[in-house]
Amino acid sequence: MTTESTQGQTPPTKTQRDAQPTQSAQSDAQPTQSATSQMELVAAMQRIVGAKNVIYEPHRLHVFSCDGYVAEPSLPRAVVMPTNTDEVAAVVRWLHQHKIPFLPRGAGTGLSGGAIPLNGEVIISLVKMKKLLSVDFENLRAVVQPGLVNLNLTKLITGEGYYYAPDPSSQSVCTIGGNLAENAGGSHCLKYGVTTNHIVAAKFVLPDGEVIDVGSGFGDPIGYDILGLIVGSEGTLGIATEITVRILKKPQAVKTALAMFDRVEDASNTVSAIIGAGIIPAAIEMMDQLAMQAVDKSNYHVGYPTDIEAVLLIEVDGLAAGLEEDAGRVVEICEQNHVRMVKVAGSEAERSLWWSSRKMAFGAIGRVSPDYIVQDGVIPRTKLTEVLQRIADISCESGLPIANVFHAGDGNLHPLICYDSRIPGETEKAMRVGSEVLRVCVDVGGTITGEHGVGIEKVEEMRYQFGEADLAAQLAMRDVFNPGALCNAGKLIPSPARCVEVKQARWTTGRNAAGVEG
Amino acid sequence: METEIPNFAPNDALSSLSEICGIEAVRLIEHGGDILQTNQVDPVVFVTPHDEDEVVEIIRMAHASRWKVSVIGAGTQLASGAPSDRIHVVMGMERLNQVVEFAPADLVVTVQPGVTMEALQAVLAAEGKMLPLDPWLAPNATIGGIAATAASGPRRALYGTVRDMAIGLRVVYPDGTLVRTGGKVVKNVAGYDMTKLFIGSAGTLGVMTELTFKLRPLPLHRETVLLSGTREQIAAVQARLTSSVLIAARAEAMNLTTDVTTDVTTDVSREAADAAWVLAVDCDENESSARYQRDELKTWADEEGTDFTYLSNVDADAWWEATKGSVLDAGVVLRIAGRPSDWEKLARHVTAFAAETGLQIKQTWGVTVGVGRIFIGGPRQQPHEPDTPDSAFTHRVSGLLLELRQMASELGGSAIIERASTEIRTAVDPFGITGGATVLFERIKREIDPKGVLSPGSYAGGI
Amino acid sequence: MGQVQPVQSVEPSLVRMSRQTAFPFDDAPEEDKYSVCVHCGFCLEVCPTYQELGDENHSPRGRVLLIREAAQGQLPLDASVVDPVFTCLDCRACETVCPSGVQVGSLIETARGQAHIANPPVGRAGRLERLFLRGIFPHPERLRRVARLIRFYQRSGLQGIVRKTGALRLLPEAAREMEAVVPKISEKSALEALPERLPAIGAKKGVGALFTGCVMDVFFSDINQATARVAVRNGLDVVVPKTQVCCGALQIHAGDREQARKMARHNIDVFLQSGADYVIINAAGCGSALKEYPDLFRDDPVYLERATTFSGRVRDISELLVEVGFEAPEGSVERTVTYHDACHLCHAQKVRSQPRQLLRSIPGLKLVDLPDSERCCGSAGIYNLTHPDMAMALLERKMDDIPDNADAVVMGNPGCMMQIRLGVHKRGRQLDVLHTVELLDAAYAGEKTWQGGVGEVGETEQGGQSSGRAPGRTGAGGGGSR
Repeated sequence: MTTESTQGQTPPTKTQRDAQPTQSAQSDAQPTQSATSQMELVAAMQRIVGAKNVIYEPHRLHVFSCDGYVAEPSLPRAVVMPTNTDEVAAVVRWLHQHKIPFLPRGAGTGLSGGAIPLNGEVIISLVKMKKLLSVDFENLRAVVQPGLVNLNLTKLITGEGYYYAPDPSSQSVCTIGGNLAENAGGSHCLKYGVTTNHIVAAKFVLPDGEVIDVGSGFGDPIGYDILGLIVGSEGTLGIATEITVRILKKPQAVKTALAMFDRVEDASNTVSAIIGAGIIPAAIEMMDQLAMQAVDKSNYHVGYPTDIEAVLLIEVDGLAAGLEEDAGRVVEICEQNHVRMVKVAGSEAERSLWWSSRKMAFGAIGRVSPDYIVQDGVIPRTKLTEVLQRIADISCESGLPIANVFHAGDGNLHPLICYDSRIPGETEKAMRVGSEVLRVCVDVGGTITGEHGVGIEKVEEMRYQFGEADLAAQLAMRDVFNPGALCNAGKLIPSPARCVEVKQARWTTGRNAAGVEG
Repeated sequence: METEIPNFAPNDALSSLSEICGIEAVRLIEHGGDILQTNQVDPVVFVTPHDEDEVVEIIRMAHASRWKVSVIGAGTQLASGAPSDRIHVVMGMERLNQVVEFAPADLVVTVQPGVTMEALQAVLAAEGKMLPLDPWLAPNATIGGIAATAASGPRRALYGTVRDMAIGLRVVYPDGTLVRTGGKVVKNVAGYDMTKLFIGSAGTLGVMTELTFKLRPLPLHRETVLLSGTREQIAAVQARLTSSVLIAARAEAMNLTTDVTTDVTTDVSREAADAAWVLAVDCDENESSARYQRDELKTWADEEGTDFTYLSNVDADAWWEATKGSVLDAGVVLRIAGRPSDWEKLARHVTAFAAETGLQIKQTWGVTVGVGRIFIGGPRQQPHEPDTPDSAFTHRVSGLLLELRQMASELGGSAIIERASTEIRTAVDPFGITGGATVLFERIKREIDPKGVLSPGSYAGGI
Repeated sequence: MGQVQPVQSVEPSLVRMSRQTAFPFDDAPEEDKYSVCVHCGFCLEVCPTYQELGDENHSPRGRVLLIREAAQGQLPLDASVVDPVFTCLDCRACETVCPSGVQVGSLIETARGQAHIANPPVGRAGRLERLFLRGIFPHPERLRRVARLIRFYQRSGLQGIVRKTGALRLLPEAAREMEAVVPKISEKSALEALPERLPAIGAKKGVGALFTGCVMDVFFSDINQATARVAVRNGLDVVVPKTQVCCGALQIHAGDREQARKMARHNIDVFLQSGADYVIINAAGCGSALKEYPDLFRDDPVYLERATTFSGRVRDISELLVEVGFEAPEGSVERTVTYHDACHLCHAQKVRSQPRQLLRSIPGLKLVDLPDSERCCGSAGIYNLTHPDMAMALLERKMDDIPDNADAVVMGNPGCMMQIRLGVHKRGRQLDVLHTVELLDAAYAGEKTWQGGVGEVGETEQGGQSSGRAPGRTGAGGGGSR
C-alpha cells in the first residue's frame, strides 16, 4: 500500500527524486525510524483530539496530498481534526516539542498550493471547527471558528439583513480561516475591500503552541499590527482559531448590468470611464470570448453571443433612491464606449444566473480544455488593454489558448492558460507562459498575485516583484513567529537555495506522477 | 536595547551628517526636548535630508555610530507614546515632500512622507480624487506622521483607516537597508503584508520614504446632517442609524462646547454640557441618496426630539474644518475604543468626570465605529498649574485614563494617550497593553532594530 | 482506457493489466470522466457525507481522486478506494455544482462495478444482495410473491403478534425501524391492475408507456395508478407494457452492472416495442437510471444505440406534464405542504421547477419552502440499510428542516418517501408523506367535471376528496386509509 502510493507520488528516477527530497524523506527513506515516531505521533494526536479525528492510515492520506493546486502533490504524515482552540494549541505544542512539521488546512480550495504538505507535514484540518460562536448585530461583529464556510456565515445572518462582504468565487465552500490565511479577495472587493479589511481580531496559536489575542474588536490595534501581518501569511505564522469579523448591513438595493462589447479595448475603456466618473461599483467583472464559451457549456448557460470579444458584469449597490441614477450613468458610459448591448438584470433570478456564470468560470474551463493553469496577476487598471494585448501575443506565440476572466475594476487578471498535459512538453510550456504573463504584470507596475496567494506555485515569481532585501525582511518576520520553521515551511517566500530549475523538475514529475489537471 | 553610548559628541555628529546632506540641512539643538516635546535636556542634532539616499546614509551612520534617532514630520503628534530613551539625532522629513506618482484613473498615489495632508488633498481634488482620511490634526500634519501613528478621524466610519488605504511602502530599516513592501496596485497578496507592520509603528521599526495609497473619488455630492440634543437623544438616533441601511460616511457625536462655560461644576452648566451634543452624519453618495438619507434622519430627529439642520458640499467641508480646528489646541488627547453601543456610557462617565474635576473637556465619538476622543485642557499644556509629575492635573488625567481604560476593556475596547505631556506619559502607560502579543512586539523590534536605533523605549510594551 | 475491445467481461484484459490499473475489467471508470476534475472543491459543501464526516476521502473530489489513482495503478482496489466509493450516496448533488461537469455518479457506479467483479460481496451482505438484487427484484413474479407475503403479514394480524413478541429484535435495527413504516400493501400491483392501454381524455398529446418500477409498485402501487390517471387526464394515451422488469438502479448502485445490463436490455426491448412516444416514470431513482442506460452499454454498440433512443423518451411524470402542457386542476386541496427535492430528480435529472409548478397549480394548496431542499434525506436506494448511521444522521437533518407549518412533505421518489416516513414515525410528527402526483390526482378528483373514471383505476376512495385531504397515508407510519 505505502510502497505503491509512494511510487505514484514520487519521481521514479534517482535524479528526479533529488528534486523532491522532502517527499522521499518522509515516506520511504527511513521507514523504521519514521514508523516508530509515526506510532507515537498517532497516539499523541489521538489522545488530544480523539481517535476518530485522526487520519493516519496511508491509504486515507492520498486525498490530502493537494489542495486546489494539483501540480505538486505530497503526502502528509497524518491529518488531525481538532474541534477547539485548546486542542489546536495542544496539537501544535506537541508537534513543536517533537520537531514535526505541520500546517493548517481549511477546505483545501487554495489555488497556489498553500495547504500542500510539501515536507510531509501533519495537516491540522480545521473543518470541524465550523461554528458561528457569537454575533453582535448592534455592533456589526461576528466571532467565528476558522472552519466556517464563508457563504455559510452570510446564510446564518442574512435573515437579520446582514452579510459578510468578502466573496471569493469559491465562497460556497472556502472557509473564513482559509480566507484569513490567503487574504482572499472576491468580486465585490472593489468597493468593500478584501479580507484584511474585514477581520478585526483573532485568537491565534503561534507555532510553539502559545495562544495570543491579536487585533482589537473595535478601534485600532494597540501596538504593532500583528493581525495585519498574519492575514495573508498563508498559514506560515500560526493558526487562527477564533476570528472576529466585521459584518455589514445588506445594501438597500442592487443593480446589475451585463454589457457586451465587440472589442476588448472598449470594455477596458468603459471600466476606466466608470471609475473616472466618480462611481465605485460594487463589482466590475470581465470575461473574454473563450471564457464565455466555457461558462455557456456549464450548468449556468447565459447564451453569450459568439462574436463579441468581451462582456462586463457591472454591479452598483447602495440606497435605492440613488441607484437608478448610478445605473443609468453606467449604461450611458457603456454606450459612449460602443457597447453592442447593455442590459440591467430584470429579476433576482437573472442577476443570480449572471453571477453564477461568472463564479463558475474557472472550473468551466475544464469543458473546453483538458488542463489549465490560472494566473492571478494584478495590473493598474489603466493598463488593461495593453496587457490583454500582450497576453494575446503570448498566447499566439505559444500556441496555447488563454481565456481571461477577471476582476476588471481592480485590475486583477485571471488568465487561464489552456493546455493538454498528455502532449509531451505542453505542461512545461504552459508553466512558462504563466510565468511570462506574471512578468508582464510586474513590468507594468503590478503584482504576481492579487488574491490566490503565492504558496508553492508562485514562490519563484516572487523574485520578479521583490529584491533580496525585501525578501530577507519577510523571511526575518517568519523567523520571529516561527523560528523552528515547522509551520508550513517552504511556501510564500523563496529561500536563497531554491532555484527555478528545481521547481520545474518538481512540476514535471509531480504532474506526470499524478496525472492531474491544473 | 543597547546601553547608552558613553560620549556622544554633538558637534562631530553634526559635521558628519552635514557631509551627507549639506550644512544647511543640519543644525544643533541645545535642548533636545524643545524639538522632541519631551523633557530631554541633552542636545540633539536635527537633520532634514533631501531625498531617500540621504535618509539611507544618515541611518547607516546612526547604526554604525550607535546613535538613537527619532523621525518627525510636522511635529503635530510628537507628544505621544512613552518618552523614549535619550535621542541623539532627530530626522525631520519636511524636505521629502513630493507627490511621486499620481495615477488618477488607477486611484493610486505615491507620496513622500513629508507631504502635508492639506497639500496632498489639494493635488488629489484637482483630479476629483481624495484620500479619505481626516484625522483630528492640523492641516500641516504630514502623511508620514499620520501613517506612523495610524491617526484616524470621523471618515473611518465608511472608509476605514490608514491600514486600509496604504498599499505599499519604501522603508529604510534601522541598519540602512532599503526595503519595499506591498506594491502600487490596489490588490496584492504577494508575500507578507509588511506594510501593515509599519503603519502605526510610530517610527520604531523603520523610516518610511515613500508611501502608496489607494484613493477614492471625491464624492460629487457631500452632505452633513446635524442633529443636536441631549446625549441620550443622540444615542437613540445612533442606535437607529447603526441598524439601518443608511450609508454614513461620518457619524460623529460631539460635545465640544464645554470650553465656553467657565465653570462646569454647577448643575446648570453640567446640564448644559449634557444637552450640548451634536450628531453629524455625512452622506457621500449621490444627491438623490443624500436626500433620502436626510429625510430619514429628519424623521428620526422629529421622533427623538432633536434639532435638525443640514449642510452641503463646501458648507459641509467648512463646518468640519471649523469643528476640527476647535480641538486642535488641546493639551491632552485620549483615544477610547469600544462597542459602538457603549459610547454613551463612556461619554457619560467623561462628562461626570469633567464636572467633578472642573477640567475643560471636549469629546467626540465615532458612533458607528466606537472610537472616541477626549480633548482636555487649553493650548498645548495644562490650564491652571505648572505640570509636574506630581501635579494635580497629571494626577487627574492619569486617573481618568485608567478609569476609562478599565471601563473600555470591560466593554471589549481600549484607551490610550494620543497626546499628553511627558509627565503624564511617564506617570501612566500611554498604551496599557501587557502580555500576549507584546512578546511578539519585542521579538519584532529586536529582529528589525536589534541596536535600538529608532526611538527606543517609546512604543507599546516599553519597546 | 476501457473501450479497447470487448473481452470476456470478468477476465482482466492483458492490455490493462500491463498498464497496472486497479480497474482491469470492462466497463471501467473512463479517463475522460475523471480527468476533467480540476480539484476545485466546489463539491465539498454540498456532499452529505463530507458534511457529516469532514473527511475528504468521503467527498466527491476525494472519491474522484481515488478513482483516478486506482485507474492509474497508484492505488489498489482495496478499502482505500472501496470504502469511500460505497459510502457515496450517489445523490449527485456534486454534479449540480460542478463547474467542469464531472459525472461523479457514473464514475462511482463504474468503480463499484469493478469492485463488485473483483470482490463479490461475501457473507451475510453477499447473501442478502444475491437474494434481493439477483434473486427477487429482477423477477416481477417473485417480487409480487414477496409483496403478497408482506400484505399477508400486515393483514393477518401477524404483524401485531410479531411486534408484541419482540421477534423484530432479531432484525438489524435499520430493517426493524423500516418495518414500522412499510405502507399497507395493495392487493394488486398497478402492473397487474392496470389495463394494457388507457385512452387519453380530450385532445391527444401523445402516447406514454408507464414504467411501474419495483419498489414503487410494491409499496406505492396507488401512486402508479394516480400517475396513470393524471397522464390520461392530460391527453396522454397510457400503455402499460406488462413484461417490463425492475429498472436495475439498485443493482447499478451496488455495482452489479452485469445484472443491471440484463434487466436494461429487457426493458429497452419491451418499451421500444411498445412504440410509445414517452416512457413515463414517477420514481426519481428509476428515472435517472433509465435515462442513463446508455452508460451501461459503452462497450456494446448495438445496445448503445437502442439505449440512447430509449433514454431519449424517458420523462419524469412532472417533467412530462409540464412538457406537454398540463391543465391546471379545478378541484382544490386545502393544505400547506413543503417539497423535498429527491436527489435523482433534482441533481441527476435536473427536474426542479416542474413538480413545484404542478403543486402551485393546485387551488388551495400552499407550498412553503423547505430549507436546503436539495440535500439528500439519506435514503439513497438501499443506503439506509447498508450505511444506517450516515443515513440516520442525514434523516435527522432533513426532519429538522421541515417547516413546522407544513402538514405534508411532498416528493417524487419512493425511497425518499420510505425514509421520510421513518423520520416522521420516529419523531411522532403529524405529517403526511406524499408523492407529487397524489396531490395533483386528488385535485383532479375534486373536479366536478371529471369523475375519475378510468376503468378500475378510479377506485372509490379516490373520489370526492375535495375536502382537501389527499388520499392515502394520513398519519405517521400508520399506513393510512388503504
